[in-house]
Amino acid sequence: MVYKIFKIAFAVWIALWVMFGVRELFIKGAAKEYGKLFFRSLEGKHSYLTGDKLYELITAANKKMPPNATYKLIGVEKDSIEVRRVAYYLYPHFETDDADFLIIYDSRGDVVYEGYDIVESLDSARCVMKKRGAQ
Amino acid sequence: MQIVMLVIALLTAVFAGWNILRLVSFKRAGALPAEELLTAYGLGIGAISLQMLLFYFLNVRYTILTITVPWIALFILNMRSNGTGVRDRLKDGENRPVIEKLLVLGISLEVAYAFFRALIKPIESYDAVAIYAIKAKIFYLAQSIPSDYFTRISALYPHPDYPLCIPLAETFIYTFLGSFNDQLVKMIFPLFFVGILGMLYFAVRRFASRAYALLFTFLLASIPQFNSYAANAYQDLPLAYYYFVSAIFLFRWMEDRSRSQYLVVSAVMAGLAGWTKNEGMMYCVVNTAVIFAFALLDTGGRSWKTVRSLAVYLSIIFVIMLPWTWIKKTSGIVNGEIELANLNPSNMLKQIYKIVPIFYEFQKQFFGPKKWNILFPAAAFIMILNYKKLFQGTGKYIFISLALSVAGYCVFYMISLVEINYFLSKTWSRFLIHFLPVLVYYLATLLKEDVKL
Repeated sequence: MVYKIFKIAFAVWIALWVMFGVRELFIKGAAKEYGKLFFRSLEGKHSYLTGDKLYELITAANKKMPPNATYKLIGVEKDSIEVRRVAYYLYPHFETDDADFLIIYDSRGDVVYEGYDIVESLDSARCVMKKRGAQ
Repeated sequence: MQIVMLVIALLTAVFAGWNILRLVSFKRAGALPAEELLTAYGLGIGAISLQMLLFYFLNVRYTILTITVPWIALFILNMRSNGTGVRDRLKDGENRPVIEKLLVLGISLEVAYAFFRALIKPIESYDAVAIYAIKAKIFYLAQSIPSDYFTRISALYPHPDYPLCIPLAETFIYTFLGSFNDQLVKMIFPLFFVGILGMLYFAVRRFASRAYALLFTFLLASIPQFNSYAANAYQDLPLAYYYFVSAIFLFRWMEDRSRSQYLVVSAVMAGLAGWTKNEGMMYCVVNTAVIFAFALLDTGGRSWKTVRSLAVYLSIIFVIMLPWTWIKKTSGIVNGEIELANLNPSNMLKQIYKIVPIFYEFQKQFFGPKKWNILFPAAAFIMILNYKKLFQGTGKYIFISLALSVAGYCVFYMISLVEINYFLSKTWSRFLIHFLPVLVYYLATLLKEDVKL
């Protein structure tokens, strides 16, 4: 009796296992994502996962910032995964309010950042600004 | 070259763990060589990360040499000791029926997929990046824990109170790789997955056939939530590993108390659970309570040997947790989510309303086949059907262990400062992973007479 029930339960288990496996790979798009990631370099994978546009901006900022420079990220939602990834990639640079550099991801045209000059502009929305007088 | 260094790093971890096992004469307990290897891996990862924490006190920098020399010294010391012992043997015929081959295929698919998923992406998920990988990067770039880390830097990132076992283990891998490769470092996580599956297989094989053990190993491996956490660089699977191994060895010691090596290794693994995640401390309490129950129920509270065993168990956990607890205390690092001062009857009464959302979320997980297949309804059904066996022999201690785990998490939620619905949605499905291997093992013990394979 118990063995019979067990066999039925195991058959259900296998059916669900196959169904959810197929669902994840082909309906939820995991296989497609793996295809995109497979031939990318480590740097390319970081870029894909972070978002190519944001990663390009981080890379540009990293090149401009001297050691020990601080930054402030603007245009990305507070405490979002993007903010965490930027902090991770940019370490040993720390984020502070009174930063040496502003990394602007989504600039609103009417906002003026006084005391800062653009040192790298990627497009109309993304740029890196440096505080006047900072090293 | 990086792959070669990765393999050397992982072998170093196994070497470190193996040396500790040899130090406690683990072989004499009769453990199988494969069990020793699977235990050595997790033990080595935990021990090396503890060693790297001790380097903070001694002001030693992380290099391949400074990390490996103590283990080579221990190896030389161990060579003098007598490590002989009679290993347990598993009986089996040579024939492998089709069902075994299919189960091996299913397990292999799940293991291969876990490795693939882990290694196709660098570390990228929220907690893995924000809490753990950032710490590993800080330690790797400084080749140590910076002197102002606990007083200044740690406060700049979330959860400075979370234990550093896995961040330091990642730093250990980076040190061997000689570069910050946050893709290869993820190899440590599916290896914990393999460790759990292997330990489950051999634990079940001790009382059942190969096909039966493979069946339960497959069931665990094919649980979607369990498999996905083998790849995302979270700490839940390493914690599940440490708790599971500590529990398995504890139950084995209860069956034969002359094998005290199992008790010692169980205590070390429980301590490492606490060193991996704050929730691990709860499992130290759970295991201690289980030994206490054992002392009362099976020895009638009269056995001084059991009391002594309890003292040894607690001492080992204390020694493992001491450096980290000391650092937290002296640096003023506190947990912002759980307030232990809230653990009092009047506050618990005030928080009683949380029981409703806790059980609502639990039933969502219970009947959630996308994450758990039909495990929980099946487990409930098996327990009802086998209610007479629930408290037989060692089974009652497995039951107590599981019941205390669930109760412990309910208490966590009751004393938590975080908004309950948000906290539940972020954590319940992960907490269940921690005791999942013990649950599957328990089901295997309950069904052993009904399902003959």
